[in-house]
Amino acid sequence: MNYSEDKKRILFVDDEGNILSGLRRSLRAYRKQWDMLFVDSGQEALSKAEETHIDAVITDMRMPGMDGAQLLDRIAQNHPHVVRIVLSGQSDQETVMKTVGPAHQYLNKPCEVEVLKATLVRAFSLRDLLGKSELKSLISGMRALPSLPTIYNELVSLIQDPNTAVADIGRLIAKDPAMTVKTLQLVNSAFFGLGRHISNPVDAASLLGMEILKPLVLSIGIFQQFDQDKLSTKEFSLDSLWAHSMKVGSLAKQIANLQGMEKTLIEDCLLAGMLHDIGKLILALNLPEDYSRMESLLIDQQQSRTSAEVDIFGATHGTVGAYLLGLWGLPESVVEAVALHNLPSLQAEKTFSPLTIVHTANALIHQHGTETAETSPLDREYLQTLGMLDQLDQWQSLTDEIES
Amino acid sequence: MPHDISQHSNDIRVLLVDDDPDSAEEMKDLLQRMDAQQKIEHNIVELLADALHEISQTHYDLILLDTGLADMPTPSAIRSLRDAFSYAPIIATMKYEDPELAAMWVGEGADECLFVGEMDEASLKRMVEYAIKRYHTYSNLHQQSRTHHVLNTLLSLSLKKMPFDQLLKACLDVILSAPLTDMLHQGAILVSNSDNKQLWMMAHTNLDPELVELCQRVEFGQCLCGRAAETGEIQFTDCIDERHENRTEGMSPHGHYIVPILSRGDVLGVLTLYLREGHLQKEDEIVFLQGVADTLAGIIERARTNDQLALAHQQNSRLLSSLTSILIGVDEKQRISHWNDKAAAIFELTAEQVQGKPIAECPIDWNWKQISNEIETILSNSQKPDRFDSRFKQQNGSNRLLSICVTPYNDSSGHSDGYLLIVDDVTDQKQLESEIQQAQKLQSIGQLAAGIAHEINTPIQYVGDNVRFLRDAFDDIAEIIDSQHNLVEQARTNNIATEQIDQLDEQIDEVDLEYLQEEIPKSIQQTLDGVDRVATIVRAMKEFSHPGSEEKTLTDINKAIESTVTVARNVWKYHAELSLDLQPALPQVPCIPGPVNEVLLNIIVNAAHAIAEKVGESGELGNIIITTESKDDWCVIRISDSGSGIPEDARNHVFDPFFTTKEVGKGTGQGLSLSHKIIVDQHDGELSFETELGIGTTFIIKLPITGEIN
Repeated sequence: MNYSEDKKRILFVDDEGNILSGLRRSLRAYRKQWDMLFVDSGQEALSKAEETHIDAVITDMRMPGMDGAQLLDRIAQNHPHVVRIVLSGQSDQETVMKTVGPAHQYLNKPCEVEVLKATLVRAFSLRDLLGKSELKSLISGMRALPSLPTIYNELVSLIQDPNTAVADIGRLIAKDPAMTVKTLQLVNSAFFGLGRHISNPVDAASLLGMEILKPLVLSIGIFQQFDQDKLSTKEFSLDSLWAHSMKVGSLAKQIANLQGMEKTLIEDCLLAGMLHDIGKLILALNLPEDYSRMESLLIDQQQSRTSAEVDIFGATHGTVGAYLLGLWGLPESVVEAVALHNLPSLQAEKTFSPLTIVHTANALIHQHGTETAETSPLDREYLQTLGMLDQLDQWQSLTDEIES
Repeated sequence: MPHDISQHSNDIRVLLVDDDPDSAEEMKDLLQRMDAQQKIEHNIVELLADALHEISQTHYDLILLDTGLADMPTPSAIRSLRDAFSYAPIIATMKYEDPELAAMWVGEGADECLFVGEMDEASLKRMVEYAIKRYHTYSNLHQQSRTHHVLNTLLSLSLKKMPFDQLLKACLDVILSAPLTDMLHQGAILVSNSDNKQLWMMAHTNLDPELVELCQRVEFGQCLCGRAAETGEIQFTDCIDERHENRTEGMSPHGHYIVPILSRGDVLGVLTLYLREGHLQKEDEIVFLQGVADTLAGIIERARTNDQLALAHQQNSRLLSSLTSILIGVDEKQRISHWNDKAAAIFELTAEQVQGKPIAECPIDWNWKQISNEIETILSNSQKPDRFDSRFKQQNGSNRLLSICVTPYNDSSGHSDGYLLIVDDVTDQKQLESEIQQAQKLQSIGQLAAGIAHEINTPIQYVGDNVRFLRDAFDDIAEIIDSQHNLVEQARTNNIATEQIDQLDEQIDEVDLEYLQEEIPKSIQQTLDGVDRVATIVRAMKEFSHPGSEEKTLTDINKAIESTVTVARNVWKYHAELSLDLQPALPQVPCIPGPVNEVLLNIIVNAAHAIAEKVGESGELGNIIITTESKDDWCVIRISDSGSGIPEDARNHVFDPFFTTKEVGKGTGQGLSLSHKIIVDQHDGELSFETELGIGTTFIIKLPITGEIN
């Protein structure tokens, strides 16, 4: 993956001077990549963000006056493109809940510089491929993705029923890509202190537990209901997008199973398959006119989807989706698979990975629905390079099973 | 219509038994010519068998029996007539004079034997009158003895222990055996329910089931029974007349005596008797029935009283057994007189096992010596509290705590008559209390836990950052030292290449040695500061929680305040600046440090919250000032905040348990009440406050310096 050569400007906010000077010193090794600013209050952070372009804010949670959550809220409003990270020693639930909306990621003190760096690098990944800063803003400004109304309503009633088992909630969440990704963002944030990546929404739900899920769903509203009427483009249907995504996800999982991948990677395949087209949703939702224009370009001029998307948005839907997932702290292999699912040959180190599987699964599913076959052709050369071409027949038969 | 008694009592019915029509005719003339006071009616039959049949059907006052009947060969044959005719006079007549035979007739049962030839009107009259008179005397005697017998049986029944309805049924059957002319073996007793003026049928004999159903409940005033109940007067009828409102289909003709059962003017019920149709009412029957009714009244009243007693007793026992307390009655000889179910359950001894035994010898694993001392003290001194606690061990070995209340029994003259122990198993309750206290403590510590984590995580973050910086800095400096070392080596050989010096300069530039030289000492200092801070917090936590110390020890209050402030730093630092003005060389105070620290924490937390409430999210900081001084024999701690002050209507309730002005979920309202208990009850100190709305509140803790140390 490519990272920008431009220096990113990162703003650190903490009321404790010693923390700031400690960070300044330990991050000194990155002074060539990053331009780092240190301020000791929320108010000062806001005025810095007014004065100069900021790429990311890393803030303490509890500070006199404006606290971290309030600061990030204001930043999200006024400077939506900014990557927002909390670095806090506070561990009470109430405070953390407040940041679920405005923060992209949550880190606990003490936090090693390397972790901090890795978090920033992943959040910045693909940022420069997005081209237009408008896209960056709209993606990092998003707090939730819309869910299917039927699933959303079912979840709300399920979560209010005292007899519900948390695993049932998890299974319901797993039916909806938007809920899945938001739940995973939460559970993978440092607050829950797991130290490992969770890709399975059922596990995620039971790790969060009812006590946390309930306020998250009911009062904080981490999930949103999709409203087709508000969408001004008629070319987009969430139902068919999610139906397709679920199919790709389940095929990817089966292929991974067949190939004997390890458990976490199998879950990554399922997740990446479910989420691979999430960029389409982001684009259709935020730039509906451009989206309609792009769809007509596809039909009229027989242009490839990738080039049409680059022409109109300056980035592919894969990049757009991947940027959000990276920003929300989802696993690297998932981010990569989503980013390059239509352009697998761009993979930096060509290995058999969730990307390989999601690309193939997506292409195979598209082949079944003939009219869209052109948009996501199978990259046989790429499979050949990995020596996986001979597996294709087996995968094809898995596809037939799923489609039937 | 009731019959006129006098009119009928004058008729005399005579049965002539004679198979000789001439002699019968003669006798009839004689009877009619007889100058009797009463009107005489007669009937003639020819055989003894006919006579027996006739008297079973119709009432006769006198039988004139011819001794020469075909079916009556010997005088002994009169026996059957005598038996059937009870005490009514039988006068035998002989056609021939034979004094010997006459004596035999009289011996076998005739009341008189007459020789027809000698008989004239006067002698017949005399005989008849005499016989009737004797008959009446006998029958009165007999009747009286039978009635007495019935009444006696009733009275003896009433003493028997049996259910009320069975008792009434037995009474009814006795009454129906009474020698009342024309009374049928049929009847009922209905008992009134005075509340709603209703009669309830409680006993009946030989009644049509349909009628039983119909007359199960009879309103006062309804039908004959209801009339008797309403008027309190005997209702008599010789047929089913219009008053007989309750009827069943195919009801056979009958008459009634309905006798009200009265007690002091109250109608307790009615006795319903059936009579052959056409029965004539008689005065003596009425008298008898009134006697029966009076006896029944006694029975019903007694049964009712018994019922009420039983009910009261039942209610009492239910009350006693539903008591969740143990009740032990002890008599003046120290023996157990009462032992309720709860006592049996808790002590695992049944009432039978202990009742009547001396309480001191009860096989209960408790400290009876202590208990009896306490009881003694309480009984001898009414001013003392009447309750105390004592331990006891159950048979399964578990220890329970009992709370025992002693109530003396005093008779009317004030003389002691034993005592009552009310014992409660308060083990669970005490446990709960101590758990609540523990939870209270844990809650205040829990409030701190998140803050303390933050207080420790923060220095660890920058200690780590600084040490990492020092590590990298050392790598850089080591490289420069190496280069310098090389340069020195080469200087020794006087062989320095200028490029090497340039290279070193470049290297120094590259690592920014000037920056490092400036930053490293600061970095080391901040690292040490961080380590210090962690150490301070850990020490303060240890001092604050004071493990193990449950007794009053001489305590440095200033230090206690400092550690509490440190532990609570995260609670106040976002809302207030906190300054300490502690009197140096403050005398040590005898106190239990743990609870006192909790009081300090509580008040500091309240102060921080009061300020937070006032400044909101403006980012302004308020002030908390804590001062100590010794004044006379007191150590005075003042904790002042610049918060919102306590509203006037809340001031009187500040120390009430469960009183809180905080929103639900924020405070239990236990903090200050508990603090008050700790300072005032545990330490003989004082806890007060001064407050002004919008200006702030000062809590003042006063602890005695010269207290006892245990």
